[in-house]
Amino acid sequence: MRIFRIIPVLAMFILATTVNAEAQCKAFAKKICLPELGSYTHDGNYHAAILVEGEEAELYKTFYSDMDYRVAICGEDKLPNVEFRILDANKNVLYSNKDSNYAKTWDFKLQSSQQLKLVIKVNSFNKPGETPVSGCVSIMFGFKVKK
Amino acid sequence: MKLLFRLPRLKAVFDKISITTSAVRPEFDKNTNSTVLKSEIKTDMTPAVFKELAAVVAEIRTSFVK
Repeated sequence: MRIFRIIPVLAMFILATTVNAEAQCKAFAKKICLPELGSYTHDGNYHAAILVEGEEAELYKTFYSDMDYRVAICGEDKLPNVEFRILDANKNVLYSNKDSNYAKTWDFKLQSSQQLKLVIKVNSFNKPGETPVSGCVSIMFGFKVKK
Repeated sequence: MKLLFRLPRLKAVFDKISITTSAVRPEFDKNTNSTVLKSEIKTDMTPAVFKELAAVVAEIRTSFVK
């Protein structure tokens, strides 16, 4: 009978920990990643998730031709470099920050509006036997309307 | 929920519109220090398809907006 008391308490503890981690991740996005957008206007969305080293996340977003965009990627300091790639509908890689020394931002504009795919990958420290590091990774978009 | 059942009809009309996208060519613009993703999109919609699309949209709209 005691087990029936422990399970709900344990479940509530895990839920509370997860909710707290998500809230901290959003706060990280606001505090650290938002300033990276500089003079660009934030689109209002906070894309943030807790990723483990070696893990990958994907995001699809439609971009319009009459705007200038900045994408900013931020990872917690304890994490290894965060790689991000931008791909078109035919899976061609249009940009990879790996070629720019893992730059945190990328400015771009489009000749024609279209949906692009963003792949975010947390590199691995490659330390066998050690617990993989996890931390918050945030991706944010800013725009400027062309005059 | 009733609206969802009507959407396949709308999709069927949209499927008659052909959209072709050329390959994207990234070109770096030194003046603005940003990358321009160059591509062309061609949309082919006949007047008949446009009228059909307008009719289906109007029909769906009037089904829930009085």
